[in-house]
Amino acid sequence: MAINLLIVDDSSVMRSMIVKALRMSGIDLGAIHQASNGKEGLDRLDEHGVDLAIVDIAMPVMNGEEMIDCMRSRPDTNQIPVIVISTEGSEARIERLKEKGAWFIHKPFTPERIRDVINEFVGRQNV
Amino acid sequence: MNLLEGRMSERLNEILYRVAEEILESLAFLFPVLDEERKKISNVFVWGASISFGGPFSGRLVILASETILPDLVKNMLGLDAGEEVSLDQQHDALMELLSIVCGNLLPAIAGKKAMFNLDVPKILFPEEYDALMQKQDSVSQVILELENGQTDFILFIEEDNLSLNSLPLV
Amino acid sequence: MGSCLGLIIYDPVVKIGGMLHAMLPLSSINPQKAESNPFMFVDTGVRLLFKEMYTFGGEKNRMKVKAVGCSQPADKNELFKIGERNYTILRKLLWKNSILIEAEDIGGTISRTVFFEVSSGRTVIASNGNERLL
Repeated sequence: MAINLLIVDDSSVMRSMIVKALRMSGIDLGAIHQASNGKEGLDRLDEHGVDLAIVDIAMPVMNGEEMIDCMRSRPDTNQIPVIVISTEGSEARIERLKEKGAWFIHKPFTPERIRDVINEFVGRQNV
Repeated sequence: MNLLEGRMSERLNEILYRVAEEILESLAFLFPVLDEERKKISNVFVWGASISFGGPFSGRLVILASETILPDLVKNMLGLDAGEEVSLDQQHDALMELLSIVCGNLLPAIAGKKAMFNLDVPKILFPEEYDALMQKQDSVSQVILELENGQTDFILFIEEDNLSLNSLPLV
Repeated sequence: MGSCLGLIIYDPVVKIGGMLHAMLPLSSINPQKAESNPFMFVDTGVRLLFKEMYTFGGEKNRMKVKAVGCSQPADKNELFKIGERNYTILRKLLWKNSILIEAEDIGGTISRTVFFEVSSGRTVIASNGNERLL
């Protein structure tokens, strides 16, 4: 079944890199929605149903962690799985994100890392 | 600069170079060479970007890059062919993202993984802005990297003046 | 191999396999040498290896790619970082062509020997008297 995605990062070049790596992973991709900050990301979620959100942390207007907190507080979005792709280096903050149910991928990433996490996500969906 | 400050600056230069080299290679497949003899980049045909941060110490990291390397930066990040055109917006975007990733990896390399920093959003600097910046603040660390098609300078400014050597991890 | 790149490509459907042993990252440092021996360089060698695989019926979307080698000298004071750069150029090419690495044994300071069985695609790495499946 095709997976509909939301990618949230303030860099359009980075969003394109993530899309490329996702296409390389071999999963069945449906619609790919994009946003450049957390607020726009929440707007996209209001407009479209997604199966997975991929989110940066440091962004203008609303950062990624704030966006995840909003998602988790709303019944229509609190079940959407999240992958954080970020340069975040603080062990405590990474642990906090994982406690909010997010997978974590460090920047710069390899496409193989994206493949492995996406396969883990798909595996969980199939259970 | 006294002896202690000199040693700290040298240590920071080593860390900054190591991180910048690693990110340029892994993100953009570019091979930098540390060029201690080269002069600081002149502001002709250069683009700059700046990112501020706060946490155990605050400051900013600045990148100044020859405009000739920016198209390659974009093409390598996106996996494009050499002949493809890329826009100035994409070049600025890639420069800011490169800076953001270097900064995000640099700060834990300096302060350790227990430290928590907040990174601001990067912004493009215009020549008059980085002239003013250089005149206003002393940098604690600066590395000049030669690339195939040009040069990038990374310059680190830290606001607190009590950053002690003891807090730096081994390189 | 030490700092050299070993690349193994395998199409399990048609059972076609290829191996490359490249010493240096970029052919631009010696174009004449690259003309006579393109497999000496990662950039020309990898391209040609894939091209040869396609000639024999291999298909890109079925290829299993494994990378070995690219180590550095034990004293870590190597000026030119040949091993690292061999790996970086490989990664650049694979990213550009949207090809993933299935498995790798890269870096460190050891030297490795690769055994590749075309009938099965089985790849074994030998190093310091030990063998392991890649």
